[in-house]
Amino acid sequence: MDAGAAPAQTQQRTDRDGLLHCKRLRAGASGLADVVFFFAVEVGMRIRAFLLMGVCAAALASPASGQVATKKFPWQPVGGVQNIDVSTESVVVGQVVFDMGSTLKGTPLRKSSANVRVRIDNNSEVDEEVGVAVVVFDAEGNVVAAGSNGTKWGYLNKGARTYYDIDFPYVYRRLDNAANFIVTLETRAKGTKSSKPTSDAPAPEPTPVP
Amino acid sequence: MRKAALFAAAACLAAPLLAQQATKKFDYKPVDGIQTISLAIDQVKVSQIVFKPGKTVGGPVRRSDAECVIRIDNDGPVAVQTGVAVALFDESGNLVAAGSGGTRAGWLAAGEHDTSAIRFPFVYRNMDKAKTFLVTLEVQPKPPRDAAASAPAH
Repeated sequence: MDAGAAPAQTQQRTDRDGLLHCKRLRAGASGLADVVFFFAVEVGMRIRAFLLMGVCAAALASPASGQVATKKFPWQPVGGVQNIDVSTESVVVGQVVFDMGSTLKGTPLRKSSANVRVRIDNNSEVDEEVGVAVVVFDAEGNVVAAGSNGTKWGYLNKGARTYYDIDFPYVYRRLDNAANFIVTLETRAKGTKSSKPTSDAPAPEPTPVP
Repeated sequence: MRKAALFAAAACLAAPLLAQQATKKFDYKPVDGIQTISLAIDQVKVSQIVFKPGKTVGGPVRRSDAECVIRIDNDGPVAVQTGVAVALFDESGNLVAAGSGGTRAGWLAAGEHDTSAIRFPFVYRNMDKAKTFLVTLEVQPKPPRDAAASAPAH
């Protein structure tokens, strides 16, 4: 009898311990309330898991940071024209044409017509979104001009060439002191949602910030 | 000889004042987009910059509404033209956004302040990786012969 009673007692203790554990979580609750409580906890954990998965999926599907290449060049335009080479995979900025511009004298308008025209070739197999930024520095590292331009609508078709004018309307007064400039090319291929490393392209030379 | 010296002096006085320029590098640490900075030429100051990372307009439009807004205070005694350029860099020194803003017309009168939005519509996709930024302030004071006419009527 005693031998038969012992396992039952043990089982009872285990259940009680379990219940005690539950009661420690939610003192005073019993029966249906416990079931509802456990259900709520379990559903809550599942929701949390689903939320975590959702966040991960959203992060993977989030807009790409795009490919980017930055290069620094000495200021050596001849007649305003300077050949350069900045590329992300097969999109290339091959030439810049600087126009020192002027302001409308005798008017209250302060904007300058100074600009740089950049030539971009999409030599890749897919259409691309493109953004180009140019910052011009003097010998001391002061910015003497800065601006950007790029795809406004749709894509730059594969195999196509285009030109973008980057205006320098507000910071231009010391452009004649230019000593070097940096060009950044930012691209994103049509249909890509995540950034790809530019493994085939030569690694862009990191630009030391003056 | 004396005439030549007088001519040279007159030429110097008549020449327009050269634009002054200052550039400073800051760590990119905006709080709710706002960062207090300190960059000044004489008494013309840039003291606050507000970054708005923005996003693309959507559909086939590729432009972003990313921008930063700068406040320029002219605490000096003369009216000035101003220009401000901002360039953001990531950890590796890649340029992730750049642009300029400033006086569009007329002068920023003595004692006045102005705000200017610098847009980053085309190079913005890596702006969340910005670590440092450069701010350049360019100031051109109003020539003295016109300065009296531009004094604010306080």
